[in-house]
Amino acid sequence: MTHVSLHRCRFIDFPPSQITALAFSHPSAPASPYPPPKNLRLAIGRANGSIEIWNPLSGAWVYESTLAGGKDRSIEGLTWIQDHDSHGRGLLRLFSIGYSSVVTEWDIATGRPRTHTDCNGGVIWSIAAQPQLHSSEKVNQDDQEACAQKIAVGMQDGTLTILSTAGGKGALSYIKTLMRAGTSKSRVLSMVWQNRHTVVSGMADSTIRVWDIRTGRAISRLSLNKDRGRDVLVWAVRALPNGDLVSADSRGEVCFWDGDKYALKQRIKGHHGDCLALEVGGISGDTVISGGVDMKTILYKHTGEVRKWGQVTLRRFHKHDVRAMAAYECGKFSVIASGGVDMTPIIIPLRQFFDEAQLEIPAVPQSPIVTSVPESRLIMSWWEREVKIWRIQELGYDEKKGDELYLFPGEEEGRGRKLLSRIVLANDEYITSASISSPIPQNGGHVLAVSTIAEVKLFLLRPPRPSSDSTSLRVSKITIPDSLRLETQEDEDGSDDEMEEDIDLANEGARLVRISPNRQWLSVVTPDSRVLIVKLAVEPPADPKSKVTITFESSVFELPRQDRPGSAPRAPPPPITDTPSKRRPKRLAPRVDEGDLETYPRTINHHLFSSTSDLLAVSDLSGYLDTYILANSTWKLNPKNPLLPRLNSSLSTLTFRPSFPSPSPPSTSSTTNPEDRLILITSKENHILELHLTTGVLSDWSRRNPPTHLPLEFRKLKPHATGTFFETSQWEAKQRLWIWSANWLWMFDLLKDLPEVKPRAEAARGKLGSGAGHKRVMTGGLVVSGPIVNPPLPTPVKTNTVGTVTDSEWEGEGYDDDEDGGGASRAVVPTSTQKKRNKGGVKGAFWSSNRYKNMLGFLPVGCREEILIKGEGWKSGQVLEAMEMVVVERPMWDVKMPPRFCKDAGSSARGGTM
Amino acid sequence: MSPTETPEAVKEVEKPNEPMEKKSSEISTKEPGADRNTLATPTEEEVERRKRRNRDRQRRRKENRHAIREGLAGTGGIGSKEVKEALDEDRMVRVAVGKRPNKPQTPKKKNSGESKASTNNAVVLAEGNGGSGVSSWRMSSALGGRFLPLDMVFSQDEKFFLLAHSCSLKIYSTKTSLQVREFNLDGKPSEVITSFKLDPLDSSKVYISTSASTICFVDWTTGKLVKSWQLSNIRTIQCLAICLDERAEDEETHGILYVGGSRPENPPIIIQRVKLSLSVAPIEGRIYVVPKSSPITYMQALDQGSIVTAIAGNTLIIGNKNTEEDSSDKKSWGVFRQYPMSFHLACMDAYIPSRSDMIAQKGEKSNRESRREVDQLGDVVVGDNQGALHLFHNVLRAKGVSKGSPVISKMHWHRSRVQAIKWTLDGRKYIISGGSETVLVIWQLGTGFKQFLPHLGATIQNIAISPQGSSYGVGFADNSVMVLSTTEFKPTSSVTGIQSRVFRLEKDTEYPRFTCVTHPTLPNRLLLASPSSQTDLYSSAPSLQTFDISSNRQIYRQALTKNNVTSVNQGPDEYRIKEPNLPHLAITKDGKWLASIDEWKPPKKRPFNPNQDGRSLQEDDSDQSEVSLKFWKWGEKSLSWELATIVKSPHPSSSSGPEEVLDLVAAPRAHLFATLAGDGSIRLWKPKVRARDGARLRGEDSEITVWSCRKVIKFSRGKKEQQVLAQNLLGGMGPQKVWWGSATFSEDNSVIAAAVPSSLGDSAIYLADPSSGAIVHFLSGLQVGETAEIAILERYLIILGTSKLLVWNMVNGTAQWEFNLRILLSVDNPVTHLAVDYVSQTFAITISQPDAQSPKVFIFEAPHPTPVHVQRFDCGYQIMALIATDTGKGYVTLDNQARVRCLSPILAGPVQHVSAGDEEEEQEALADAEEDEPTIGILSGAYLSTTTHTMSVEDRMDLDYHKGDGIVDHVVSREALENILDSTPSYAIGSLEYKFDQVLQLFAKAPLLSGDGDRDRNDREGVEEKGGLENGSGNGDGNGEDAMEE
Repeated sequence: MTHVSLHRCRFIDFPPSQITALAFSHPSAPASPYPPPKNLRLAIGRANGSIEIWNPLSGAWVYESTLAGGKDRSIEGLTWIQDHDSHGRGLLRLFSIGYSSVVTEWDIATGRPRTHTDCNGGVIWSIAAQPQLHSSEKVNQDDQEACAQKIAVGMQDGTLTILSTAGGKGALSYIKTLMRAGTSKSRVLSMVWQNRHTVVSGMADSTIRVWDIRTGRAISRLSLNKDRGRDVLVWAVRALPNGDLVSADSRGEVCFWDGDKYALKQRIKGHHGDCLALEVGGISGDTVISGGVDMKTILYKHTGEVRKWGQVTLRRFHKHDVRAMAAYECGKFSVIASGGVDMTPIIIPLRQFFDEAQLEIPAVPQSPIVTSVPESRLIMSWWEREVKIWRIQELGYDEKKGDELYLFPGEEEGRGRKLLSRIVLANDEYITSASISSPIPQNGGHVLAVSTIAEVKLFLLRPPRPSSDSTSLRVSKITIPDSLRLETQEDEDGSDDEMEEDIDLANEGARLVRISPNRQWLSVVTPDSRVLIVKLAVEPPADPKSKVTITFESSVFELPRQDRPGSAPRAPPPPITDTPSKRRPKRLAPRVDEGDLETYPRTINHHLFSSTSDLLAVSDLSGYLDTYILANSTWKLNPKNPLLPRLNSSLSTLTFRPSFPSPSPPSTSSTTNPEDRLILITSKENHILELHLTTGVLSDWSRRNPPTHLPLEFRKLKPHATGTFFETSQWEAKQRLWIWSANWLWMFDLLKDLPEVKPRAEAARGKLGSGAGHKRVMTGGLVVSGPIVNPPLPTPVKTNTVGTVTDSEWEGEGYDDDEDGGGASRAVVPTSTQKKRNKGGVKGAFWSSNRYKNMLGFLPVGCREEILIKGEGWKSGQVLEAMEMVVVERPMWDVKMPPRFCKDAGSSARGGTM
Repeated sequence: MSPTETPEAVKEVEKPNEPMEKKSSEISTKEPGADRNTLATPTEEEVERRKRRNRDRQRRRKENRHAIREGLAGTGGIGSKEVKEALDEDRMVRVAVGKRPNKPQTPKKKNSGESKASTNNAVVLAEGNGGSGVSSWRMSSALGGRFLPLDMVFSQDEKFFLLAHSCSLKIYSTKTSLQVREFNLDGKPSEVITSFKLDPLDSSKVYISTSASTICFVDWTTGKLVKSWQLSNIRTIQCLAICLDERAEDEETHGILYVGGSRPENPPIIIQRVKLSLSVAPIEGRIYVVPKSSPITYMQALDQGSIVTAIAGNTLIIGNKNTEEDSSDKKSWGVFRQYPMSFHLACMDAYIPSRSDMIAQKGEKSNRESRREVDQLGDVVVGDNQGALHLFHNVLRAKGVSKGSPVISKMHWHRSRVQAIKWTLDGRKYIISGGSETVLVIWQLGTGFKQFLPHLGATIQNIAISPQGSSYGVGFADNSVMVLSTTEFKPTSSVTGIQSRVFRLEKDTEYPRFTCVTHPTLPNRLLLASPSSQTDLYSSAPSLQTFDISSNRQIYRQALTKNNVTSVNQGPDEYRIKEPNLPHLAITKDGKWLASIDEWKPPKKRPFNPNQDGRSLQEDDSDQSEVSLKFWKWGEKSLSWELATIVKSPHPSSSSGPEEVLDLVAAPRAHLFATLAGDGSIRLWKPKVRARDGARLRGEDSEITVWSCRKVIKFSRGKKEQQVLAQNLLGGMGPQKVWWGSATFSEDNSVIAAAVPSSLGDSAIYLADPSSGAIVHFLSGLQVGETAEIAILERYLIILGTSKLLVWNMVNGTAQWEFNLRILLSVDNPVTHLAVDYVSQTFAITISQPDAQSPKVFIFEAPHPTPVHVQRFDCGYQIMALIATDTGKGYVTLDNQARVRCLSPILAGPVQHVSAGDEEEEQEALADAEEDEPTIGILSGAYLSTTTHTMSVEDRMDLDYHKGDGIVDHVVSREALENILDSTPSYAIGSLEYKFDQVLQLFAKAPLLSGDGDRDRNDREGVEEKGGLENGSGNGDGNGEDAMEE
């Protein structure tokens, strides 16, 4: 009999940050017949200076990494360019602007800014990249300057600065400044390149200016009517494929301008309040979407020659200002990502606006920022520059309250928890990772490792002196020796001289740090994804008064990573796209440029020690796994590592399967390590795989339960998993895997096999919608898309008005998603049938809950305990084994948002859809 | 004279005394058993004596009358059945009353200060009634009525617009807003117009479709029917669409219509194409079957009949005709597409640019390209019942439609159902829509801007656009129509009908009462509480409409309570916030003061606590309800009612909330109002003139009139007290009673009568003296059921209850006659109305039940149980209000279709004759004119001119009285003396002194002057009633019911 004692805590005050900028790495190619390029990424810039990189991955929307920001930094604009390469494999480069005069180029592989280029023109307000050179354009291929994309930035004083990106990574050079005539200075709020020679800038003085970068002159000045005497701010400007311009301004109007004559064609007022974001979509550019401070997202469509453009519909996806939008279309993939003050990125289907639901990505991070030390009942959280450690109090039995078993004795305020320590780092960079060790014996406290992109710091957290009243931990810094020897193991031939150099580990910076469970090893994944491991000698204090002594071994091992074929994802077979011109039939449109991310796909996103601290697993963004084995107190690459499969996507989380209550003796005698089973959960379709690291084969469970046997609901789950917890029992055979993400919690009983899902379910898999949500069953407007022509007369066919979704449709598209707040009614029937089917199989092989939202963690806190159960329904003297868990939630209603700018916005709110 | 009359009455009472117990009362003149309880129980001797006296008198009676009386009043069954049949068959039951003496009225009249003219009147009436046996009452044709919620049709030159009532088409002039012509549908009463459309080929003709699947082709310029066709495939035409110009297929073809309608067999709803020809029957061809059998609510045919669009249920239907020339008859008509939407569609309009539009747009050259462009266009806009407009771009033509879903713009401004929507004519740039928000919304499609024309006052039901686009015709739910100019949004003309509630009769529905009075001096004016939506049965009526029934026009409309027509009328939980209602109105006889009761109840919260029982819930409601009494003075300058006094909670209640005011009456001869409320008391309200303090605004009167309560006559336990009592007595089992009450003044202000429920579910009637406030008489046990209304006509108290109509002789203290309503009606709660016309000295009742075949009005003279006149009404209507005009015009009825009929005595002329003096000739001339031209319109003119003299007439009454003292005395004495001397048997007469005093009083009594209620007068009835009261109250106490409190 098991029991889960659950603490539901919402006290962790993690502040999500507003979304200020969104940018896709590739220009939209709506007419392309191909699926989107593999290197497509979405950069989400946040107000705290961080940039998140997301991989759309056919609609799976996988979080990959964060380019950590720092104190007083902010992202105000993002743009990607691709270095010119005749094969379309130029390097993808990301540039950002903040509230400063510099343009920052980011190295997404290391997560660090590559270069800062100061434009010397005051604060930069907008940034836009020149369109890529079209294949039809005849330029001298050798003229790098002509081939490269330029970047235009808009300044505070109304000038535009053109920067050249020619020269490969890190190269950003000033070309010229486009000055405007006249003395009045106003900010350049928005910019777009109408073509490779023309920049259109939206100003803060009710004008839109058109510049020719060849002459450096302003060609035209489009004037907007002042709004009650105040200058109109042109918040966004976009160019349609036919050259026409669209602008969004502070009057809430969207204006359409003739691209040749630069004359106003039409203006549509849709927003109450400023319209901040604008995007263009549709195969022929017949769709425009705008978002504003009234939380509305409005869709405009080209409706024919006479009326031209018309506002088609509006929805209220966001709960606050819509600050940024980015559209990407390629083939069937057609989405708009939008974000704003409510911190929640929302992926909106663009062409299927009516037919599909939007996908809401939780505002909480997709990588864990909370961890726990069950032995000490500690919860540690880290974000930005601070680390907080709480202690969760024991469950008590309150004598006064009788039968209520689990109560926290004591005061109401701050009940059940206590903030033990808050550590704020002195440096500017944000914390990338933190790890806390298990308690050192003799009441020695914990070792805490904290990393930023520039530093690694170690702290010793000691319990308070018994004499003092305070409960807070005593924090002392452990200095890392700055001259540790770096030992690089060369792979095959040890004949090479071991590279010996000194490394300043503390200033190396880290993407990930982890202290092994036995506190002997500190592993550090450097920003450029090298794995360093150093041995710690933690001496427990001799007597309670004295301090723990921590010494570093003199050498740091750099663990080699296995070379993989190419850095491009999906290695075997080599991508056809490598040589597009040769393979593709000529008649098809040229393949969209894949671009190149260089080593970024090899960026390590997870690393994990086994509980015995003798196995280390490291996974990267392209789905490769490197494992290391400790042998003779040195770490070696697992000899079976090449056997490990490449996964279909990057791992969302991984865990080792604990071994001690092994129900059966290890199947293979050769296994020296009982705990070599690694459970992997991929981010695409949430496959669960289990591998024997020592043999490099799939485990029995994984053989019996291939990913296709996973419940369809689980495979369809978005967002992907954030963490796992493996529950075992000392008494009974119990091996349960808990997988959680921001919005869901699933449990799989690994002792039971999953029911077989009919392969039919697979048929529709891989069918790509727009890349956003699932299909809507009913929209506010037309019930089904498309008219019904001449229905059979006597017995009218049942139209899809009431949830009668055919089976195939269900399998492919629809599933129940509680997160859909679109107000559309959903199919009810399919879920129930699906559940029935599952129940018909092995009972209890899995369990799920959507009860907890915006979870930061589902963590064990406290050792398992046995409670003598009294009361009805229990046999006398029965022992209940209680697993004590904590669910850390960060409800969005609790997150403080700035006051709404638009007062009347809520008055006519109608359940989000109008 | 009176000797002939009084015994008759007595006799009628007498006769059925023997079989009293066994008779289940029908039309009977028996003395009700209850009378014995309340009144002095006649001793055996008395009975004997009366019988004797009767016998004596019978001898003096004419034989024929005798026979009839016997037949009627005699042993129950047969006679009454005859009457019943007579009533049912609606024969003019003209009992040969012959020289039925109306004389008894005369003394009373004199007493009450009427001039002798009314005596003449009565005589004339009597003569009119007399020998012939022909009805002397005439019913006018129906006036008023309700405009159907159909789009109005403008004539091509926009000089006229056409509106439809249920059975008639009315043509109004745009310039004057006056009705020019009318075309009446001569069909069965159940046949109503369902749709009408102007013939696009001949703009002087109009097609009218009816529910009986008839299509009429009418020349509206002459009002003549040109031709009508009967469709055979369709039972009810729901919608009609006429294309502009479909190529005539052959010479015979007269026109081609598209008709949507229902049929009895499967498939139930179809769209038909009907080829009309003058010579042969129409050729009908089914072209489409509407799925799901939703009725077609709107249909349009466009582009020379090649496109048909319709909405049915939640589906938009677009049909395209096959364009191939060789399409034979075998082939289907074309392709229909349907677009099912999420919500029910309420309105639709399609727009397709004509070629001329396109040419105008493109300039002179209309090249091939532009024509192709035209071909691809054509938009439809629909409005759903959730308030959203959906604009389907470029869907009309099959060629231009893409395979996928069309571009649909969703525009959401309306909070609730979009009632009407139209494209403007200027090149598809604007849409106008309207709904219950009373705002006309003009959508500029290109920019997303909206323009509003708010505060239109009532739900917009229809919008029509004139052919040149210069004006919008807007139809409202409050039975009014407005033509707005497109440029200035100013109304150029408006037509308003009677804004009473309109509903369809259904069983088991409780219909609200109409609050409606006639103006006392301008008898053609009807003052009625008008709801903001005519068809919403339970909406409140916050405004006062003054409607001239002679000219069929609204005079003015004024809000008497706060209303929220233009503000948000929904609470946070989406419950509707109601406006205050006007349940009672009363106007003084000089037309200077109006009193109104408005009550407001808080909206019902949805979650009911199941633990609470019904009573406590209701009490909770009443706790928060608001009742106020307002007094309005007619402002001669402002021509509106000016608020003089507001009395919040006129009947305050000690425990909770204000008491509901059950009735409000105006005294006939004084500035005096009385309110009867649930606390069992009557309050009398009088004005007091007070000098205005402080600075005066220019133009204001130097004095202000303040109304205040002068007297409280508490006569019974109130509602709550009775509930408490019932709880105490019955251990909390007291049933939750519906409380009701009715009050009336006697014509001379000497008596105020109130009927309230007694504890046994019957009526208890109290008679009080308004001057002293003393209760002088109490009647109980009459077994009339719940009193719907009471009235006093001379000495008779008329009680119309749910079970019977009882005429109580207040002088004798006996029931004159009674009439059991259950003979006519089987239902328990019939809708009844009672009105008393003092001029003709008659009263009228209507009794109907919701499913009655045809309502009838019975006019009685108080002493006789035989109706003077029975008027039958058309089927399917119900009389919702019956009002006496009190100006000689008889009665006005208002039915549930907002139609008014006047029931007037033919020889009402004497009223004019009365007003003697120098105007007499003029009056006569007018009266003559009236006889020549019996239409109401002319009548009204006559009346209107006389009204100014009414007061002078009253003034002169006193003079008359003094001059003709002797004559009056003579008449008085005969009856009064008889009443005094004969009322009790000689042996029962107490002291002679007392009798003498009574007689003396009779002769010495000062005349009752009008408008002077304070004068001490102790008239005869009062004395009599006191005698009766002693007995009655004694019995009442003995029964232990309804103890009186003073």
